[in-house]
Amino acid sequence: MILISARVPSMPTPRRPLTSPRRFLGRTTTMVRTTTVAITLALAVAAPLAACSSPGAAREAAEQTTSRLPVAAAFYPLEFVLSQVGGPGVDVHTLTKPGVEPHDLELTAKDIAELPKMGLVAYVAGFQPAVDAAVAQAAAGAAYDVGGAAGLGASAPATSPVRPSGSVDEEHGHEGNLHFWLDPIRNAAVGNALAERLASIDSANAATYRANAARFATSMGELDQAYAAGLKTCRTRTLVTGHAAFGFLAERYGLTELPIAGLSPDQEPSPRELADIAATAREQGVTTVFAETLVDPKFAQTIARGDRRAGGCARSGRRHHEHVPWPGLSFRHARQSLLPANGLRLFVTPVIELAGASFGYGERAVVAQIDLAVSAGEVVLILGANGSGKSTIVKGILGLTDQLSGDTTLFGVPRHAFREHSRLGYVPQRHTLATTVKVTVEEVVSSGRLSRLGWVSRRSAADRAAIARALQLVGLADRARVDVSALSGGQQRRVLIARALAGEPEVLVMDEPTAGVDIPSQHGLVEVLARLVAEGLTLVVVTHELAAFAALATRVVVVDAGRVAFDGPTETFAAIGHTVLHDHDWHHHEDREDPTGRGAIPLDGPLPTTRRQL
Amino acid sequence: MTDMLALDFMQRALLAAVLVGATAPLVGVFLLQRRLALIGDGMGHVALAGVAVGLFFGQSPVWTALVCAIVAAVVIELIRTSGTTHGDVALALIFYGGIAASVVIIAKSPRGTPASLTAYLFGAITTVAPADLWTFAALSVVIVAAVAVLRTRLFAVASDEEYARSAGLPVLGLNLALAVLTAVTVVVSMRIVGLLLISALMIVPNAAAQRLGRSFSSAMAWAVAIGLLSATGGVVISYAADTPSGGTIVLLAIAVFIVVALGSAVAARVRRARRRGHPEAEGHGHEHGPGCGHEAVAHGDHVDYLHDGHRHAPHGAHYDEHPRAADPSHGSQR
Repeated sequence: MILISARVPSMPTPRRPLTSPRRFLGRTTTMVRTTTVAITLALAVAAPLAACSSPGAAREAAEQTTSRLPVAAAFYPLEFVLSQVGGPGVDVHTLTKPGVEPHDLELTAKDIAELPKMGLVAYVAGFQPAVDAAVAQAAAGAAYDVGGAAGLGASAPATSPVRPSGSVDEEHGHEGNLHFWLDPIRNAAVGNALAERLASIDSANAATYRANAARFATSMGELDQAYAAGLKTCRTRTLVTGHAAFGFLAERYGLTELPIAGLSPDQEPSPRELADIAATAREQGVTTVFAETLVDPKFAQTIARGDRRAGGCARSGRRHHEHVPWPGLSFRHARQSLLPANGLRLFVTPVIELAGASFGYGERAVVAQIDLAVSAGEVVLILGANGSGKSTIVKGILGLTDQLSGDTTLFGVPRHAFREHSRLGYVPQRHTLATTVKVTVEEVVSSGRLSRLGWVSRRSAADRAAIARALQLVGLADRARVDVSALSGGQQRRVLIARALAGEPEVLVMDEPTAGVDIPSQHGLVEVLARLVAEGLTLVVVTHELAAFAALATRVVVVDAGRVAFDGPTETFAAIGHTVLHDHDWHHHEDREDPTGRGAIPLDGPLPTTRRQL
Repeated sequence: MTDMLALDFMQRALLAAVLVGATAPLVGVFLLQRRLALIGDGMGHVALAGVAVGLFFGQSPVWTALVCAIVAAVVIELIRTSGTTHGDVALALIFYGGIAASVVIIAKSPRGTPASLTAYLFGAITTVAPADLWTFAALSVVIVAAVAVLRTRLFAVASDEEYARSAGLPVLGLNLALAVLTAVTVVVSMRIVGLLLISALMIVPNAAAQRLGRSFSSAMAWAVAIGLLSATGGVVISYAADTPSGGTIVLLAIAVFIVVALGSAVAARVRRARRRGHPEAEGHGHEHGPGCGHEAVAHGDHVDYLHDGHRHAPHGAHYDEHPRAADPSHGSQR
């Protein structure tokens, strides 16, 4: 099996020439991969946040050279095309800011106030209700709906056999699919149309716009060639995707898209539909599910989750009786029916992504140049000697250490702009809860709920239920009113875990959760975590004790002297990391007497960087 | 008693005592939790400089003290947060600079002598002016409202600052808020408790309450009750025995602490004696819980775990040995 993967560039500059297909494509951050054939075509795709560095720079430049034409783009792909055809002569503003869900966009008063100053407002009518309302109100003359140029509505996108075509959802008003930018030819047409529009507004520079559009069309043509060539020999022509975004792409290159969700990412599939998609995928030999963070990754995992877990410790039947639904999870029964599924791979945009990130304190970097992408549903173990910097990495992810260079992206949002803290839970490396005052278990666990509470709101029934469930999960429900200082060290650790769970995080980061915990309690913890992982929790565990988590982990990252020395699936690590595994006492690494002891791990040169395997 | 209440200044002193008794422990619990029990003392030193400035210019010393204390609180918190190695030296400079400045300024003041500082240092019931009372009432409302809104967040930051940061709480803002609340409390207390003793009223009632309450919130309620008792009781005794009110209030609070400490020690002994009819599972390192591998058996209102033929029931931090068969005498024990 050949796995080739391409990294999503976290901050590509849209103005770079389009030499490679992976620079292109907007909104749906997605990768395509076929693994049965030795051909992999990677499309990577600038997430909306990708826009965040360049427009700022553009605006600064605009202030120096006066009289640039101000134009607005409703969302990122339009911004990209506009800046390509406009060149340095236009100043592109984007209405959908980085990290904002484009369908649910709400414009600020400032955005609307700026609109009348725009020479051109490029948008797609019927896609973003807020933009439709704003252009009608404030920019009717300058508004330009690219839908016609993109050929939207001209043809129905390919849809899945189980989801009859023509199932138009309300968010995508006219014919449904609008992801025109996933088709290079349509994108080139939009570029030409925008150039003509700019030429009519700013006739002095008409020739420049037309020349830019011609160049853009050429690069799109090259991309089209690359797609066609790359996909020509694919054995599988069915594409299972998170939401129905690839209709135009599929149509252009003769693929069949099998979307899990509808055209709107938040449209929930029914258990029946999930089962049908899984069955079809199996019949057609599909190996990969391509998803994105907009769609609840749990759904995609439900389809992808395969035999590996079926036999794992997470899956004794009785636990399903105890199950209390985790919010947002309504697929318990569906999952059971899908369990014997198919060992599908799941491909999702990362929930945590470090790109060349260095973390440390003050000026001193403890870890340097870390590249790490964690996708939803993964269970990543971070191993390393004491002092290797593994805790520093997770603290860097959480914003607890200074970021000295590189990029850290959480749920598609740069770390400094990340506000949805409740999505990320943290269990610190601490054995006890040293406290000088009397505090009950419940009071500590309740503080884990704070990230979800407003400043003046009282605890709701949902908050209390989440706290109760967290206590029940760690087996401390009957100790809720006990003073934490009366608990044993192991129990206090469980209190800290419950505190993190009370916030109902999507990603749980744990620093040495099993240090100083006896073996039966470790098993209990792993069992609880397995249950949460089965419900869709993503787990990042810093640990010394690989053994405790081996059954649960999907991936191992070894940190050595502040760098990632290994990153790959657990199975690969078990094979080539053998020598490390046997050396239980990590302190041995510090005196470096036997550097060949780790010879099997390539510390330099290309490392296996496979992605999620289920 | 009635003749005491007939005196205007005593009415005001008792009202001020109620305000101080309620607010000081409310703020103090977070200082105790953060092991900053003595920070209020330092702020009192700086507030004293504010008092001296007020006396020098003929302004109300309460307001000048408030300004000085709040500025000092913010600076102290910023120094503490920056974690510089010379942080404690900087704090010493601020604290002793405050008290030294106050002595020097008072000596040069046309309206006061170093002797008039004593009333501010140790408290005096006759000094609560009607205008002061309104100020104290307003400040107390601010303190109570702020603690009511920020309580859970102040608690989270005080118990685990790193975790609070990871949860996105504005840690620096909350720390500054607590510092400012401490400064305000210091000022509210300066008339009847005195700037040198106010820290005691923030800490001692909480220390006693830790032995009475079963949770953070119940201990907080106990601390406020003890604070109210000490402050009002101290004012009454101070009138009757003609002693400085601040010293009397603090001695009373310490007396309450000693009684509570002795009482809880005796109670613990009695409980231990009773426990002889309540066998505890010995040397129990393992934690029972769902899926721990030991069979769970429903037993009345709780669950026992079968452990090598014994039935273990979780009780607080340990496990009780429960009799194998349903024992009618047993059910009431838990």
